[in-house]
Amino acid sequence: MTTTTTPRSAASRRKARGELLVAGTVAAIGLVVLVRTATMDVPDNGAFLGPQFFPYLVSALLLALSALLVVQHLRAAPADATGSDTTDVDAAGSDGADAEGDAGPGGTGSGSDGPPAIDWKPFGLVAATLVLHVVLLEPLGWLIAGAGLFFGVSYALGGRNVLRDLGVAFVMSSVAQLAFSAGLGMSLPAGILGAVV
Amino acid sequence: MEALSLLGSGFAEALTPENLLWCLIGVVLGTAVGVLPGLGTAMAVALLVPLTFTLEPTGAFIMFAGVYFGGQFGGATTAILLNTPGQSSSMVTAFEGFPMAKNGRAPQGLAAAVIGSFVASIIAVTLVVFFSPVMVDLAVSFGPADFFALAIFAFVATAAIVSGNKLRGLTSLGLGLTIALVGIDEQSGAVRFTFGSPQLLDGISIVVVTVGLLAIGEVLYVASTANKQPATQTVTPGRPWMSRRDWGRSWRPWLRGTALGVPFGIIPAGGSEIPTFLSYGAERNLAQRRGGSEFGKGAIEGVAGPEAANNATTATSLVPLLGLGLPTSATAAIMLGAFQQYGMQPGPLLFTEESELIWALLASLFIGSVILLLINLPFAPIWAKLLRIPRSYLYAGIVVFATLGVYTAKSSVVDIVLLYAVGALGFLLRRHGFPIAPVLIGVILGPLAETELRRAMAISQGDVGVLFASPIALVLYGLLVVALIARPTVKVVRRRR
Repeated sequence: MTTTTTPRSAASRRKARGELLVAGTVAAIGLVVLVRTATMDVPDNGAFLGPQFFPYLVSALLLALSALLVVQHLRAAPADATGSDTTDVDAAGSDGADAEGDAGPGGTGSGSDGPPAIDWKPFGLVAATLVLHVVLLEPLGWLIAGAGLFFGVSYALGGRNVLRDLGVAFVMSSVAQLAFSAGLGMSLPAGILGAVV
Repeated sequence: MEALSLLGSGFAEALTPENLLWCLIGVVLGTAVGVLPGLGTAMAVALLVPLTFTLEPTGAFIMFAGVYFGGQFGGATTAILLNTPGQSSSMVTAFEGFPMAKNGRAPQGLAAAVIGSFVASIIAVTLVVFFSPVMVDLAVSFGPADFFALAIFAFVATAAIVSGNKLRGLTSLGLGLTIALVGIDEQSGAVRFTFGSPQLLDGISIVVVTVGLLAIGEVLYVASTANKQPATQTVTPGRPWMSRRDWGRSWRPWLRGTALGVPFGIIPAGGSEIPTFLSYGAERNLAQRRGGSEFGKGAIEGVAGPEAANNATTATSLVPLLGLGLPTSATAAIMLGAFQQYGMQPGPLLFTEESELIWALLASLFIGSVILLLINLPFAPIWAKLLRIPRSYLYAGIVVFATLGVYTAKSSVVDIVLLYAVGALGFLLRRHGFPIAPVLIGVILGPLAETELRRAMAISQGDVGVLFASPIALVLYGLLVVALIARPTVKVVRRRR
């Protein structure tokens, strides 16, 4: 994307792209709903409005809304918003969680500028921590994966006293393990420590 | 009065030592979550709902009442001490509360907020006790078309009227409706949008959606703006005792705020944002007329009135919730989800089928507000210490707690994946200025709207006219049109503030 913009136009650019980004997301979800509804297995029990009726309605609503969001955007963004905005969004990243960051929102009508530029490092670290946690929870068990979750988020948000933070993280996950399994009788994944705990 | 004797038995049920303990724990936990910056009542309730599922229903709902009041208080505390309201309904409290705190009057501000909440809750819950049975009598005559009209009313009210921008509100609503579609269709048995995952057959739990949107979304949002957070300025609170003069200045705003808040909870036009603004405006005008207005410099009336209005609205939102199964606020929506988790459907039948539980819940709302007053008023300074926890630990703790809460509900990693995915959606919406409440309303009332629509159409064999054939439905659609026209008026009132 072009970087030679003043802060103000950068913000309004983000705002403009944000609106299109949400519109695109909504349209994509609407299309998925539409396609899955059309290909749905419907048990034939002669009900008047079948299980497909409401999903069709919802997908139509989503598609209409995304179109309206685009229209609103085009109306609100005057001539300086060029067509390159759309391509910028695609360039920002293809997977959903990443792409959303770069684009701005924009309270049209409220007259506010776009949101602040995304702070990629902490955001990426938190996102990566969450993904890792999901992948590792069952193989490693709660004690380790939970402590990793705490430590990852805390590091991402500026905790730099690594030893102390790790200690706090393990205390947190152990207390949670004790409270949930001993206290409330619910099981958390034991993972590789299963034999020990 | 029948309601009184039923309430009496509710008190008998709620006042056992065990249930009192749950209420106490609820108040403490609710305050703890509500005090955290950026998190409000709805978040406190959403995060703590999974915990209550381990209890039997009565204990769970009593703890719930405690969480609710605790969260309400916690939100006001951060608004006053830190100028960071956890939710839109505490926004107004910060206008005067924070200046009060800067003038060294934080204790009085907190006291005006807590006692105001107490007064408003007691009055509003009393009204709930007497109005719910009336609502139930009315609700018995509701047919499928009426329930459909109610759902549409709630959709449009929250999406288009309450959240300033119609298009954004409706977009959020549409996303919520989509989430609600996932799972087995109860009427036909068709499998919808599970993408082959057996864990999705039951649909996406409301707890996953609320915790994801509010907690995970918030943490992602905070991370995305990590280097732009203003250094928070903590003001030391003292003991919250009010002088005779403070009392004299506060009691009328409490009552006026309550009076303004009560009707907004009962009509499904969602949220306590509007009444708090109305109350603030009214108090400011009255102060100017009296002369010597302190507004802008920390007027205690500006804290007392809106906090009372906020609490009155949230308490009376129980009337449509219990009587009709219709949530009018995010907090009420999560509460409805909790009922459903226990296999109960709020609505007319609830009062006959689960009468004991309902009256115990209503009784514990009284008990909860008393406990809140007794415990939190003297200890507000201790709660404020929570704000000294490093931000990195705070949000790490929120993520861990949210993950655990969701995991333990079903012991399913799929739920954690969903939680994080919904969190990403919440982040996207939050960042781009789309409201969250309509998503929740869509998730919760979507199935009701669909079921009742299909029932109505099945009865009429496809005649759309049936939807407009009942007087109740017509009244609801009429109200909606009036509300859509009246909305600009409210906006003008708010702008004048």
